[in-house]
Amino acid sequence: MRQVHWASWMSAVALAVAVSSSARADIASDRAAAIVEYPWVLAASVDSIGGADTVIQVSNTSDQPIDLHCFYDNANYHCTNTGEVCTAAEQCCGGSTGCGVCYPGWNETDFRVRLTPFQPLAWRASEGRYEFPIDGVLRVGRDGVSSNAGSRIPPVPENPFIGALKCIAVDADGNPKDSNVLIGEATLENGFPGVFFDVAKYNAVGIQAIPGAVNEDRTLVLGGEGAEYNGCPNVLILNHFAEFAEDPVSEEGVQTQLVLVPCTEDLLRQKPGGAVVQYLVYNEFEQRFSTSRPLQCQQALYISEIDTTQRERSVFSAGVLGTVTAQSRLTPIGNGLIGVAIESHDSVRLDPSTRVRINSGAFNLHFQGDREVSDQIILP
Amino acid sequence: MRRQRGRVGLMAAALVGMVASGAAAEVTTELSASILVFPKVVADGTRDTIIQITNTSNSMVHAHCFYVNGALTFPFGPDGLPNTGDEGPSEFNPPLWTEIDFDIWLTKQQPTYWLVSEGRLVNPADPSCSNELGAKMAPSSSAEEGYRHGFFGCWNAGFDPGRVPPVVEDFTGELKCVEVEETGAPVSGNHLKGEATLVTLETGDVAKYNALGIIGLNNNNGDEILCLGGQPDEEGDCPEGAEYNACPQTWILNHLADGAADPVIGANSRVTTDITVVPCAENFETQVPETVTIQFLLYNEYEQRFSTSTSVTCWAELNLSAIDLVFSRDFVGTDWVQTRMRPSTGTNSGFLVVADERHTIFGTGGPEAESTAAVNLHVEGERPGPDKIVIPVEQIQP
Repeated sequence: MRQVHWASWMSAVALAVAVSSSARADIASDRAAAIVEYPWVLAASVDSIGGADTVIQVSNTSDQPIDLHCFYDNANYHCTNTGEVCTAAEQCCGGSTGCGVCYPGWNETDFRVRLTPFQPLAWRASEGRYEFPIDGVLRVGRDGVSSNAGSRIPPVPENPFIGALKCIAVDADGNPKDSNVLIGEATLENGFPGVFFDVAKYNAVGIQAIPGAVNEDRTLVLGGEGAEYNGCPNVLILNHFAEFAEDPVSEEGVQTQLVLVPCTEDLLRQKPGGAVVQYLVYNEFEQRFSTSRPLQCQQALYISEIDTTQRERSVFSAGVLGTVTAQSRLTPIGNGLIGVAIESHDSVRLDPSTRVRINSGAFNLHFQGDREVSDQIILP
Repeated sequence: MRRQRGRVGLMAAALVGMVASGAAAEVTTELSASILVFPKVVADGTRDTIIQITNTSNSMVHAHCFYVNGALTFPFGPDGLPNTGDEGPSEFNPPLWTEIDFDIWLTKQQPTYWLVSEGRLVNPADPSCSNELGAKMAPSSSAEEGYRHGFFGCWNAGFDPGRVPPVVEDFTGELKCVEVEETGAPVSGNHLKGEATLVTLETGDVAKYNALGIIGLNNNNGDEILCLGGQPDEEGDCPEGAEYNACPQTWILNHLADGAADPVIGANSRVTTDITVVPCAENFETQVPETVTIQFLLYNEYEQRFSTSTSVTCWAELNLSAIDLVFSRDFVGTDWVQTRMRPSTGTNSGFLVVADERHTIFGTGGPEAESTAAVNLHVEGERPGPDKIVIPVEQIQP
C-alpha cells in the first residue's frame, strides 16, 4: 500500500520535473503570445515635432484565423486652457487664453482586426489601414472561408501622438482567447528630409495566455491568484550606457530613452495603471545607486530625467556614475510594468553643418521573475 | 484502495499542473542565460561593434568566450576579383572559421563593455568619468547646442572584465560566451545577459540587438561537451541528457519583402533585410565547422505560401534576395511577409539567427540616406537535439 503511494508520488514528481524542464526548454528569445503590447508608438507630422511615425507589424503564427481586439492608449499631454497637445507648460500660454497647465491625459481608441492563417499585416500608426489583402469578397483565404472582413484600423487619434498599443487575441464574439499565436514588431522612423533619417525597431512584448485558464469575462488576470495569463515581470533589467558617455566608435554622446507602461489598465472606466518604480543602478565598479519615481499610464523619459531636472547630476549620468556602462534594475511597486529602451547616439560631429542628427537603436528589456500579485486588464 | 489511488492521481495531476504553469509564468522577451551568442559581430572597416555583457546575479560570474571569424577565406573572391556584395561563402571560398578565446569575470551585478576592434586592456588606472573640472564638459540640459559641448571620455573606466583581445581586421563573425565556474568548468548559472550595438563608421548609424541566451539546466555535468537539448545517452556524449535548453525548431521573421518601399518614406526608398546565421553545434576541439541546411517557408499577406532553402557553414550573413528571389517584393507580391525558418530534417544542428533591416532613401544621384535596425526573431518549438558545443579540455581546466 505504502509502495503504491510512493510509486505514484515518485512518478508524479518525475512527470512534474519532466514537464517543468520541457516547459522552459526554449532559449530566451521572443515567443508568440495572446497579448502583444507595443509600449512606444509615436506619430508626428514633419511640421510639428520633427517627422516621426511608427510602423506596426503583427502576424498570426498559427494555421487558424485569429481575431484581435486592439487598443491605442493616448498618453499625450494637453493644455488645460486650449486643449492643444503640449509637451511643456510654456506651450500653453496664448494671448486670449492666458496660461494653462500642460496636463497628462489618457484615453483609449480600440479597433478590431482579423488575421487569416499565417498572415502578416502592417500599418503606419499615423494612417491606419482601411484596405486589407483578403477582403472576403474578391478574395478568401486558403481554407476558403477566412478573411480580413470586419477589420478596420484607424489612424492614431491625434497628431502628434505619443502612446502605446495593445492587441489581445479574442474569439469571434470578442471574448478573450488563450491563443498564443501573435507576434509583433514596431519600427520607429524619424527624420527631416535631406537632413537625417533614422530607423529603430523593437519586438512587441508578448504576454502568454495559460492554456485553458482564460475565461470569457472581461477581466484579464495576469499572474498571481487566478492567473489567466503569465505574470508581468518582478524586475526589469536595462543594460545601458551612462547618459552622455562617449560612444567609443563615433566619440559622441549616448542617451537612452526608457519607455514604461503599466500592465494593469482599466479600459472600461478609462483608468490608467500606475506604479512606483524603484531603480537600482550598478556601475562597472559594482557601486550601487538608487532612485525612484512614480508613473501613471506611460513614462517615456531619458534616464537622466528620471531623478532630476539637471541631467548632468543624475545618477544615470556618466559624470556621476563614473563608468561608461551601467546595469539598472527596475522593480515596480503597485502594478507590474513592461517597457522598451531607445538608445540615441548623437552624431553631430559627423555633419556639423547641419542640425543634430540622431542615430538610434531600440531594444527590449530583460526580465527576471514574475510578480506574486496579479495585474488586471479590464476590457469594455 | 482504488479511491486512495484516485486521490493520489488527482494530487499528482494537480502538482503537474502547478509545476507546468509555474514554469511557463514568464513574459516572452529575453532572460538571463548561461550561454550568450552574439551571431553578428562586425569590425570590417565599415562597421564596428560594441559588446555589452552584464552579470545579473549577486555573486561573481566567470565566462569563457570565443570569437569565431566567419569572414571569407578570399575576401576578394577566389578569382582575386573584388566581390560585388552578393557572393556568399562557397565550396571554393569557405568561411575562415578561426577562433580565439578568452576569459572574463564580472563582480556582482557588474556590467561591462568593449569595442570589438579594440578589445579591452586590464588597466586599473583608467580614469573614471567625472563632473569635476578637468574632465570633459557635461552637456547643458536644455538646448541642442548643449550637445556640442562634448561628452564624457572615460572609456574602460571600471573593473576590467579581463583581457579582451581585439579581433583581426575585416572581422565578421560571432561571439559566444559560456558561463563557467572559477575552475573553468561550464555551469548552469543563468547569470548573463548581453547586447550588441553595430555602429556604421561613416554615418554613425546604430543598430542594436539582444544577445541570444541559452538557458542552462540543473543537470550540467561541467564537462567539455555542452549538450543543448536531447535525451540522456549513457553511451554517448550527453549521459545526463540536456544540459542547456534546446535550440529552436522554428525561427519566425516578420519582415518587409526585399526591395519593398519603406512604408513611411514611399516610392523613392527601399528596404532590404539581412539575416545572420550560426549553427548551434560547434566543435572548437576539431575546428570542423558545422553545416546547416535551412528550409524557408514564406507567407505573404494573401496567405500564399512559397518556400526555398539554403545551406550555411560556420557563419553567414545573407541578404534575403541573395538567398532566393522568392523574397523579393516583385516575386512575393505583397509588402509584408512572414518567413518561417527551420533546419532541414537531415541537418545535424539547429541554428541561431538575427536580422538587420536596411532602409535606403534614393535621390536623383543615388542613395541619399540610409539607416539600419537590427531585430531579434521569434522562436517556436524546440529541436529534439542534442546540439553539441565542444570546448577543448584544457580550456575548461584551472
